[in-house]
Amino acid sequence: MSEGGNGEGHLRGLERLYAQAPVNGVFRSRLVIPARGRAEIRFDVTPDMFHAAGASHGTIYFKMLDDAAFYAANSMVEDCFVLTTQFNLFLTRPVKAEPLVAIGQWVSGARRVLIAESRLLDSAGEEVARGQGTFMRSRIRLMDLPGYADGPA
Amino acid sequence: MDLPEHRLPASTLVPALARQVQAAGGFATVLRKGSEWGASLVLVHRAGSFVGAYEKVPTLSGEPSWRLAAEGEAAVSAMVEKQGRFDPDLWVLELDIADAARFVPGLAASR
Repeated sequence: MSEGGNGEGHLRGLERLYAQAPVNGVFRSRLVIPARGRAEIRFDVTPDMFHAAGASHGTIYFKMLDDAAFYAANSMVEDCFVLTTQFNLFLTRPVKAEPLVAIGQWVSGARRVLIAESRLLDSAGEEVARGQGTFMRSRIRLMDLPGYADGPA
Repeated sequence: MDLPEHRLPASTLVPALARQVQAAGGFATVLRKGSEWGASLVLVHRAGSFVGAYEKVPTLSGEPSWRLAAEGEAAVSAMVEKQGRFDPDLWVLELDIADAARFVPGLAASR
């Protein structure tokens, strides 16, 4: 859909980009982009992410829902990094120390403004939160970012 | 487990909305044709001497919400021009029909 696109290579590049982002050293998690327009992030909530009352802090919900929707959106844009400009969150249930998966899905938009949504599921597949974001194509070229253009790690 | 994927592209939804308004005896015309899967839509709504440009605001429920972004001929033209330059995917639909909320849920309530 834009110059420099190489399909699968773009999706693998985004996965490497995610793995190399400094923030994911703090939130240890793994991104898989199974197809254009979709992203899945798996991670384990551990007690060091709890608020004072013993369940996951809201930060975790935003981090995972935003990134899942973000990469679903960026999978549709092959030349530039996108940026989150707005994000709405709906939290359904508290999360304990358990494995979670965030699933992002592109909704609309092509050249400049994109919309994507995401769901956060617990280990039983029950939805614990959902989100929707608006993303904007930036001038930051993916090729210039560490990890994107590398071969298999 | 799957997210709802039964969505229609803007290139179907916007002309369909125009046809519905026309079929009901109203005025509707696509002022700017955007991309098939454009995410942005501006409605130029006329009612008597009022003209306003409404931006579609995405919501979690999927029910669209509308924000009055400009009012008056000059401001509406400028807003449409500016948004079109910003997002080449943008669709702009002008309509003039009584009780427009029948066709565009939430539109009248936002005035």
